[in-house]
Amino acid sequence: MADPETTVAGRGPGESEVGRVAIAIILVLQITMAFLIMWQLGAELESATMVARERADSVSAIMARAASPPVARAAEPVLARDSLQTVQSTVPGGPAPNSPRQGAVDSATGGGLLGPLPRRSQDLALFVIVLLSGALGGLLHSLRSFVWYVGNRDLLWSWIPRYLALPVEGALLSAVMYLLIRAGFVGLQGTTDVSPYGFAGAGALIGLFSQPAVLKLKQVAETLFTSPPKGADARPQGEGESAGQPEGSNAAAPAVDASSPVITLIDQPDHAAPTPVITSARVETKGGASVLLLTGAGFREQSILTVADVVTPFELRSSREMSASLSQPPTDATPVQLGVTTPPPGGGSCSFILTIAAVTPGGRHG
Amino acid sequence: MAEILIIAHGMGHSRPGDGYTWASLLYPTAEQFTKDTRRWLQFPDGRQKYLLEVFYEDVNETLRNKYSQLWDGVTGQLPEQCRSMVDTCITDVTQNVLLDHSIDLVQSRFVAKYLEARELAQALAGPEVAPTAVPIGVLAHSLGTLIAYEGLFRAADVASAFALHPVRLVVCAPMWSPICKVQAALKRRRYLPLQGLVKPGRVNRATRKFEPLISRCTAIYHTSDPFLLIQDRAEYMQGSANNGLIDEFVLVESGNLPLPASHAMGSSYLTHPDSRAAVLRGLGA
Repeated sequence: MADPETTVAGRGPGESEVGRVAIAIILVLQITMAFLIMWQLGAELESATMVARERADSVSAIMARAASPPVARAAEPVLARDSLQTVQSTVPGGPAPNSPRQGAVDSATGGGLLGPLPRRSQDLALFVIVLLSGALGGLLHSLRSFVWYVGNRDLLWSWIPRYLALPVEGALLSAVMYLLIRAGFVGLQGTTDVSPYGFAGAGALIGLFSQPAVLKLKQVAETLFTSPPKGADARPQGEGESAGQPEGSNAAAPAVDASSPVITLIDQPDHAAPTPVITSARVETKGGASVLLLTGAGFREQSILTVADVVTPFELRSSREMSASLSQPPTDATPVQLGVTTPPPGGGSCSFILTIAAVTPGGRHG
Repeated sequence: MAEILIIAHGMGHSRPGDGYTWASLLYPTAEQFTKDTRRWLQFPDGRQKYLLEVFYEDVNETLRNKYSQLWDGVTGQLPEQCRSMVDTCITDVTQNVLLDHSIDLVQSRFVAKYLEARELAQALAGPEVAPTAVPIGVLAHSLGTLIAYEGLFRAADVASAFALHPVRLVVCAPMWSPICKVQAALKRRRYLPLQGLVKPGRVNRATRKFEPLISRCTAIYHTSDPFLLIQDRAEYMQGSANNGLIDEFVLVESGNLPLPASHAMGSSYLTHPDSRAAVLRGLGA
């Protein structure tokens, strides 16, 4: 694996620090781009919301007509289902004819950077929204990192292309992720009724956190295709990745590994004792003395047997069987709690309820 | 390669840990080890099987106590001759309420265990191997069979497409009559259709293929089991019904186990050689 430090130092142009004028120009450029994208995104969202609302209104109207009294419906020449299909088929291309919201929709599509927007299908509108929101997320990522490094007086020219590319990268990544989601490869199964705000939020997140998004895409690709062998200079994402990147900790990748705090894997010493388990218990009477017989697994010499919370000496017959003399044999009316504990390393404890009437390993009822 | 076993008990197991006893009865040659919250079987050949128990009797007990407190107050005010009748009603209501309302909560516990098993499989398999290489088995008994089966439907709902990890399901004394009748008795229907069983899973919208959450289902029943709710087995028999489980569904009659202990898992289904062998086959040993 290549040393991250030497990889970062590298050779090439841009080793000098960025001057004041350039910083000001880049900052103004970024802020201007952010406002323009937000403006256009707002117009797109409003347009998409209007179309969705109009569609919902049309469907509600059809359903209301279908639920009206039979006499009234008899006058309708068209079946409700047919009407619904007609409306649904016309909505993607534009509003239903003579819709009461027609004027509102038309006026709503007049904003944005590019002027009045042409009517679009819902899918195309969502695609544009995702592109814009991804670019916005990438721009935010770029802006935060830029300001941070300017504040630390540590901004080099070599990273400027990265800042300019981040919005484009965010837009493209969002588009790819959008295609995968709509195709059904990733999450959101079976969704037919989509929210433009949901996709806008997801797009912005993908642009803002492009590296985790790339890792997710990597998982998708590796599931669909055969993973290639690692190259000689391969450096897994998430390992030392932040060492040379201006965005620093913002881009920390949530690599999936066995050390996840949710999962604890076995790291047990070889000499650890097993955890005792009692599978059955019974009392035998021999010559007036009551003997408790336990079967199970994991019994050891160092184990501790308790009978009704009283430590009781026992004889270890094997790792699966032990016996103990009882001074007071249990009666039918009083179930007795038995316990076996083996001290660490390893070990553990188990308990068992002994009833004389019926010994019931592993529980009683259904 | 390690394996994972999820154990769902039936009603009436007041102590957690009964599932570990089942595991010892099922695999007598293995020893159990515990570290932190993780429990596993260590086989002589070095194989490991991780155990995850779905314990829910505390839910039942909580509800049972609440209702008994409520109705103790009611029956205390009644004349002696009315009490037996009211007690019968109380018992009926309590049982129905227990089944009807606690199952939702309990199923969420099953789903949590399934998701934990899935993450554990991912950790065990490592980054280079698909987590499905680590087999997950589910062993359920009595009421636990209903919880496990419907819980798998919920798990399919909440799991993302790439995390769907098929399980080998073994149900002892299944509460299926078919299951639609159980649900009708509960006066509600959840995920399953009216007739027969349908596999939990999902259609991959990209490939158009059905991805099941159960790779094999083995149902073991005892004909004299007093709690057995299979009434019409015809729909589960090989080739007799057009349901999605027919290829994987295996019915095993566990033989003439001695009554009255035939319903208990520890003293019947896991100790009788025929049924125990069937459980092992169903889980893939």
